Amino acid sequence: MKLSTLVFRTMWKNSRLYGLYFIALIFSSGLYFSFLTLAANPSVVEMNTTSVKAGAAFKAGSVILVVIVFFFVLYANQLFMKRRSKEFGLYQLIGLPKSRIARMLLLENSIMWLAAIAVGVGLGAIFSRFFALLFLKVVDVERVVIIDFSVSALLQTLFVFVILFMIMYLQSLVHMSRTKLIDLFHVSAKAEQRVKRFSWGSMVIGFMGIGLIALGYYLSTQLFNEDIVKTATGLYTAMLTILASTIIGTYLFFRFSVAALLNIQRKARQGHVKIVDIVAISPIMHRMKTNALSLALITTLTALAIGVLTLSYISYSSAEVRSKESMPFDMGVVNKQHTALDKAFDEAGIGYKKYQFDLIRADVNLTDALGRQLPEVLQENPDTSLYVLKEGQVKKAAPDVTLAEDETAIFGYSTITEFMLPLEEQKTFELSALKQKVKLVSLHDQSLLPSLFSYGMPVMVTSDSLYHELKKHQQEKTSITVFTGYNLVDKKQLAQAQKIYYEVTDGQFKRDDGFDMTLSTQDEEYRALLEMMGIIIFVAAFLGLAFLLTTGSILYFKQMSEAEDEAPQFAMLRKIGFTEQELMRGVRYKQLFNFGFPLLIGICHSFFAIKAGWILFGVGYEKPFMTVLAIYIVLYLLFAFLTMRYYRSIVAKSL
Amino acid sequence: MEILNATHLHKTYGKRRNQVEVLKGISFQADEGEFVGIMGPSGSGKTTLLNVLCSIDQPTSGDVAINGQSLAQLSSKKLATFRRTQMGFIFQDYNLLETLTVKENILLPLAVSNVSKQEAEMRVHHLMNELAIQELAHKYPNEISGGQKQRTAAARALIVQPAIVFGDEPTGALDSKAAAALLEKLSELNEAQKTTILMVTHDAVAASYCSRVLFLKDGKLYTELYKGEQTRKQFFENILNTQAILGGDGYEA
Repeated sequence: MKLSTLVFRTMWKNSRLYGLYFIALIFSSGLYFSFLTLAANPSVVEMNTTSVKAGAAFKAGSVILVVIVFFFVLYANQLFMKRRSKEFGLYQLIGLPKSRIARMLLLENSIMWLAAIAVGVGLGAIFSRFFALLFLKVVDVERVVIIDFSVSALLQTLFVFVILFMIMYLQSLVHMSRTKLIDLFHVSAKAEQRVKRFSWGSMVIGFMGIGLIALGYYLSTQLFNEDIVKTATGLYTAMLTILASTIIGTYLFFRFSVAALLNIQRKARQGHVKIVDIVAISPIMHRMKTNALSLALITTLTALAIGVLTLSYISYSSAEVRSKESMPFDMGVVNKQHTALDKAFDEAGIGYKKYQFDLIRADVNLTDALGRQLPEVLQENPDTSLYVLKEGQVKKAAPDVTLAEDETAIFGYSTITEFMLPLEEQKTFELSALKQKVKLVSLHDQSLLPSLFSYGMPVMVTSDSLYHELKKHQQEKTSITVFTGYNLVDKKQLAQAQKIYYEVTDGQFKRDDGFDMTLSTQDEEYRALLEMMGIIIFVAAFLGLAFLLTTGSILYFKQMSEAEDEAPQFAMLRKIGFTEQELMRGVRYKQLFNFGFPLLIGICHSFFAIKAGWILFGVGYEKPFMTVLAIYIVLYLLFAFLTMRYYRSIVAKSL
Repeated sequence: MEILNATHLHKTYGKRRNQVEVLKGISFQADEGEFVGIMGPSGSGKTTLLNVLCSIDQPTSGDVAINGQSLAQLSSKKLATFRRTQMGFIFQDYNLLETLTVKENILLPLAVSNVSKQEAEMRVHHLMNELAIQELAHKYPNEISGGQKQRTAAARALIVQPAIVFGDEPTGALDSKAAAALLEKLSELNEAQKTTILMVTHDAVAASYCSRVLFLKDGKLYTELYKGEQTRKQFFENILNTQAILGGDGYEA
């Protein structure tokens, strides 16, 4: 028999082992190639409105992808080498020298990798166009794309994967050279953990693991509590503590807590085992030592993937709200520019509604109106100055505002403002210039002025008489005295109106602090945000998919080898009279644990992370979180399903 | 009372031209409380016969009835239940689950039965006492000796109070002392509780503990020996003689 015949036969025999690995290779090489193709294509990456380069995002994505693939390949290869040690031992036993086996491995892997990369690049080339269209849809840009087969992308893909291949092959060689013939026959026996008793010590550490996770969660809810976090370094320390205690806690949880908890339930059985104990609980307990690290890693990666995906989705879906904060009306101009714009609109026959506000600035001290105390690092200084608008002018935009002489309403009170400057209705605060107190009657998230005017600080509205009182005491004139907002009657005229807008005004103005600023129309703000966040979510989504594919595959590989180790047990159990269905019931529990726990704990981790930080990314986290979860879980379950199928075949043919 | 009744068992493997007939019409009965040994040279069909008798393998023709129940009429699911409730198994390589303690291993077959916990507890204590593995209850298989493992396996076979216990070379992996201890215990249980035991062995010493030994040759029942009033020693001599006539292996024991 020639070496090549042997190679093909063993490959065929191992096709189930390598199947998913092959698919993962195809996916990652294809995705890598697509990312590179898109990054180099100007018709895709050049955005309309933002200066953000999508190319850079794709490049960054491709780098992260390579890192993911790198670890995945090494991990999977290690697993396969262990799995096949008996096979290699047999070859050596019949006189095949190690060098020959190494050549065989090289041939085998080259064939597989070459095939995977060929298919991957092929699919990548086909799907690049689809990716590009999907991407443009996400960033809501309409444009014709032409995607040529990119030779440079191909070369780089080949280059990177050849290097990966060499590292992987080196790992195989090291693994081979380190093992002696006699060890090869023992590997699987050695890997099967020697059964040990469960000590009280490990029980205690086990509960510490749960404690650490709980501590991490608790700290994450208290992250912005002034008692715990006082300074900027304190904030970083708290964040690092959370990260460390949750990750270490996760490891300890899998390494000790699981066995400890299961041990309690098993002790309670007093030896009267059920099918679940036989097929699921006791094997899980005893494998925890070898599986803990990978399960903890998978949990962390799951949490990371869900967290990043949710946060980018939050940003993406907040584009509309954010653009309204930047420009509360379809478009707007400062000071005298409105006369020219009015005229131009009238001439062009564009119908519009006009909202005009006279602006003054007044010093206020909001300390008394704060709802709760915040750590100093985070809090806006409450002793500040705000833009003041008068009720009479605001009523047109917000009809339900009615203010008495000593009352005020706050507008532009967005989630982030609420976070940094938590005000409370019905409290009073002081107008410094008048030495007079006013009552804060209502808070509105609706914006009236572009956030650029005041770094996102809210706007105060007072009764007309109080407004004039304040104006009299205003110390220096603001550089912006009037803001005029326009809402189009017919949104179909938007493009035309925008054109006129940019012809009449350049949108530029000088802020009070002397900086030159440019106003954009709301639509433009929206597109810019959408493009920026679209790039992020697009890249994040595919990286998330790569995460999912790799973690899912690793779980599957591990379960495959466990199933094969357990095959003799299934044979015995079926001989003494357990039915396939009964055994599969136990297997289901086992998979519920193997797949369920990393997922469940990962989701918990990401939930607390998102809950602590979502406010910095956008408005509302529930919908993005649920959407990401739903998609993630469905895809993840696919791997659980594959594993069950494999187990079923092992159990079925065991007798 | 007749516990096991095998009639005209045939078993062929392979297809058409490569057909091999392993069992060529075997019929025999085993009564309640009998300790039957099956011997024969390698390739005589011992293991195939055992697998067919205990319903793990199906005969090509013929039927096996246990406790009056014909196995051919049962679906594979019913067969599994039947095996679990009516049969006990002792394998050559113990086949204990490494992740379960001795006690848990013994209770294993009751995992899906409706035997009450008190009843199960009683049986376990009784069996562990009988087989002298009481102290090992909470030890794992890798902490005990081969003989202890096989006694654990025997307890596991007996916990369901089966109509019949099948042994596939139960002493095959044990040293002679441990093998003797196990067989002593088995024959004690056999006499005291009238448990029917059927065991395949190629070891004449092991076979001498039986009350009857069947000899298989080329898929047919060649002869059978009854112990009757003989001492174990005399019976052992008889078995050796028969083996010598039969030819083939058997002397290495």
